[in-house]
Amino acid sequence: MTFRRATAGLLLALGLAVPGVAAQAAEPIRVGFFAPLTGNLANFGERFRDSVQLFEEQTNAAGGIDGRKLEVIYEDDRNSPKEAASIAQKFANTPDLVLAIGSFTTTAALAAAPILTEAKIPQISPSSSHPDFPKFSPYQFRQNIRQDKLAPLHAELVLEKLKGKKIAIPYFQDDWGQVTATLTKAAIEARGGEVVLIEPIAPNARDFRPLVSKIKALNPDVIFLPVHYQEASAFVQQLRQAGVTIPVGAPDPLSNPKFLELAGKDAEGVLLYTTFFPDDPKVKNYVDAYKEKYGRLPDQYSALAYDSIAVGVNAIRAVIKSGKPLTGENVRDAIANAPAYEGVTGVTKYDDEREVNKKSTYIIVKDGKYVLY
Amino acid sequence: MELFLSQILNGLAIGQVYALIALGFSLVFGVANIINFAQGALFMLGAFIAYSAIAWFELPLVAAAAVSVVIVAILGLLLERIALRPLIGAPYIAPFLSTLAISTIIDQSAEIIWSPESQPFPAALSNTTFFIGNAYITLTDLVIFAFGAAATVALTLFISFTWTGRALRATAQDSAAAAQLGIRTEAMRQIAFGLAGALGALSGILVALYFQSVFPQMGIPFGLKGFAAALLGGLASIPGAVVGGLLLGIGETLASAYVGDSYRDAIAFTLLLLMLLVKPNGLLGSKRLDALGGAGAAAGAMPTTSLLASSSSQQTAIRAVYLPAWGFLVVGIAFATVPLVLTSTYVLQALIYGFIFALLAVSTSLVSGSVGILSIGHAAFFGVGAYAVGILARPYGLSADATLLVAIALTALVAVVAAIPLLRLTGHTAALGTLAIGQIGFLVFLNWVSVTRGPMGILNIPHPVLEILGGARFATTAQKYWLVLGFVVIGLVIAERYVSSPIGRVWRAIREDRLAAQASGLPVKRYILLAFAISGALAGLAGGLFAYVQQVVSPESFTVETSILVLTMAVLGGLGNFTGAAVSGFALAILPEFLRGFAEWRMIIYGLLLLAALRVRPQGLLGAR
Repeated sequence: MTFRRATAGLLLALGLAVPGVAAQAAEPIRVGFFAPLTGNLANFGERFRDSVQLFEEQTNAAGGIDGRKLEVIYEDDRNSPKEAASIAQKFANTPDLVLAIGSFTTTAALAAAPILTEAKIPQISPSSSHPDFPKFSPYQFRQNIRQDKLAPLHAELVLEKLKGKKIAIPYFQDDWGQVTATLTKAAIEARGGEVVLIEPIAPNARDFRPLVSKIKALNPDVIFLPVHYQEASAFVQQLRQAGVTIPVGAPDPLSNPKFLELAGKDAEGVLLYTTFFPDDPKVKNYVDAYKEKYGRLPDQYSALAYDSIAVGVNAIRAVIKSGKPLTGENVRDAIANAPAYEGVTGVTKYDDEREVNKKSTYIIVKDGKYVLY
Repeated sequence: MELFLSQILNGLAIGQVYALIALGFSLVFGVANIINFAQGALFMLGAFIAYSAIAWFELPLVAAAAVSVVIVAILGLLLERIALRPLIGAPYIAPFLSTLAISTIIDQSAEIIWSPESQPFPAALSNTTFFIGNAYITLTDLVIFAFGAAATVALTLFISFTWTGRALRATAQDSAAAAQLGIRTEAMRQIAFGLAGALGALSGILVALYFQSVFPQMGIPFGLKGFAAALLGGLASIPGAVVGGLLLGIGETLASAYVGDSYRDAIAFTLLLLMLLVKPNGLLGSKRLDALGGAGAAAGAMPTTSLLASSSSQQTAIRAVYLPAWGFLVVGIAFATVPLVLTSTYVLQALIYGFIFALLAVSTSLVSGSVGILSIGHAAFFGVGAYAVGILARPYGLSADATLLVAIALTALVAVVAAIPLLRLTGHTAALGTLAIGQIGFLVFLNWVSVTRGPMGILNIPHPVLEILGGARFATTAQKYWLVLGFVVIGLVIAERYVSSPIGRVWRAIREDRLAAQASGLPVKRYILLAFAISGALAGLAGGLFAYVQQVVSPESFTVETSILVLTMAVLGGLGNFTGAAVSGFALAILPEFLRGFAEWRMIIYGLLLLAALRVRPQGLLGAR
């Protein structure tokens, strides 16, 4: 009995010790990732996760970070601020976690922000669009361009490229849609254009006939559509079905292969801009790897998430190289002060407000494909 | 004028879609007297199975539709078998929650099977559009209309003239009497569910053709509308479902056209609430409802017993276990020591949410359990409290004493005002009235941008400071833990004191038999309003604490899903049993954290656990009181 117990104890000790030793040799560097992986916005969160997973695999296949493994912890926030806050607490209590990526919407990202800030973990959101998001604390960064920098581009798109004077703006009812629509309206009016309609579209709405009839009666020259692709595709279909041929312009979220698939021939002629264009030879490596792993083309959101983790991991490498201890605080400084990095959505160089300024390209839907305009 | 006519046409087009979905609800309600929340999920499955049959197996549209209708009808049978049959004789609310759990499981499974993306529907009826001036109607609309009309006529004929139809109606009217006359009532229930499944699938396919796409989240929004349409027309009335659907479609289209698209749903639900005020049985509900046997639980004017009446018969069979008021204090003191031994802020944060939801579940249990008005709209009250704190805390620099006091008072007021239209309603109509209130609340948070900042939410809510404690500031997670725990314990003690007092006895009397309570000289309405005021105050406190903990308030925290979650907590704890509500509120709020490891399977496991709990203890974990 005693002997058996001793053996068992010894075996147990060995069993615990062996992975312990191995782990000490290469304690992984941990990064927390959170996004809506189930529920209403799961399609976007899935895009994020796919890219981050791809990056994690590529990094580890290439020998990890300075010989240490990169370990991403994936969490689902269901776009609920409550869950995002719990996840942030979990990250704050995870040893060696020095970076957080997430979330999709500003509200979920900001519910996590106070906790991450207190734990001194830098947070990079691929897509939070609220103007105040990076102002929360020096620990918040984002990869998308702030909406007030995009508004003049929107005005140019509808007034000059599409030659409109009277503009209708049906917008998606979330923080992004609301900010985009309001700022774009101001920019259009500043340039002498007229906005004849500005109205929100509820998430998951599919019946746009009343709105289409209203637009038809107002007869604008151009429709500007800051709406996500699921609703936008139903909207353009019902627009064209009603015999309305008014040209449509849109911001970057419609540069999504799924939009073409859902809207079909009714997507023809939609003019938009993007910071990520899959046919660009510069991003070929990323697009090919993504396509091989997931069997579909990446969209702009995948690309933004890929750049988010790339920027964060670059900062981690910089901290290790400088010989400073690897802490969230040092990683934050490294992200803020990093030299310009050319990613798949353009160049990331954070300014004093922790904002990026990337170059956008105009594209148009032609014969069921996006082509440069 | 031309625009008006074209909008009417648009309204009819979407209205017939709602009518089709409403038919499925009406059928099950009429026969089995059950509000089937899984109808939306069956509708979605119908669309997706047809999609797969076409896209994966390359079947033609008609064959794919037939396959889908048959499969979903079988699923409807299974639903009755697995989720509802074991609950016969349980309190009425148990089967309702059971269908909810099933719908969670189906929705999440669909996301796993078909991915969360929208898919283009691979078949189309026709692209032809007919123009009448600027107004237009498509050939697809006409086909859907023809199908809807044919389904309605066939169903009416079936119910009215066949022997099975008669047996269905007899079962609906009086299940026990029908069984004595030799009708196999179980088979009848199954037929009703099978038919509802088939109708759900059919409407799902037609909706997929109408919008040319399918998405796994389509069950809830379309289900809610179908539900509202069924209620508008008079639950259990087949022509009523059609009329209700068309009216709802026209009403919300006109709202969208002349007020604004974002007010569309708000106006639809307000109309519904007003309609309930004038005609609690719905437009075509009154007579036919009796014929179909819905009157017992659905009619407003003369409830013989309440929805929850069977909870009293359960009471004798299963003893309720509950704490006295001071018991909450003892438990609270025990919990207060946790941060001294545990430093993980992750665990503390989870416990904080557990406390808040415990309070919220008790608030719901008060109106739903003690008074017997099922509340599917409590998230609205929760939200009012949260927004009150969010709006007042930063710009006005108010201390937490002041903001929480305002949150409590304001929410109590809102709850009383919201209760006024509910006074005339009982049973299902009251429950659906609260659903409308919950939706209106959510839509106000979303659309009243100048006050709530709409979808942007209120950010950066400062840490709470309590003047009453000499300006103590609660900044760390542990400090907030004590703050929340303190307030929640006070709230629970007060609630328990109320429900154990003679006032609580009156509430229970109203629940058991409103008519008898009235006849005994009790001022029923006043007591109901009092219950709503106290429940609102508790929900407002919970909301205010939630805002301080989270530091962000945005509409997505206060959706119908939240309402359903807190109602589930209240029911699972044992209706009117505040100890049970607090325990299950606490448990269900932290359970998702334990299930994190299951990743996308998490909500499925959650649904399964819920089903199992209902099956084992349909009267609630700690017994109804």
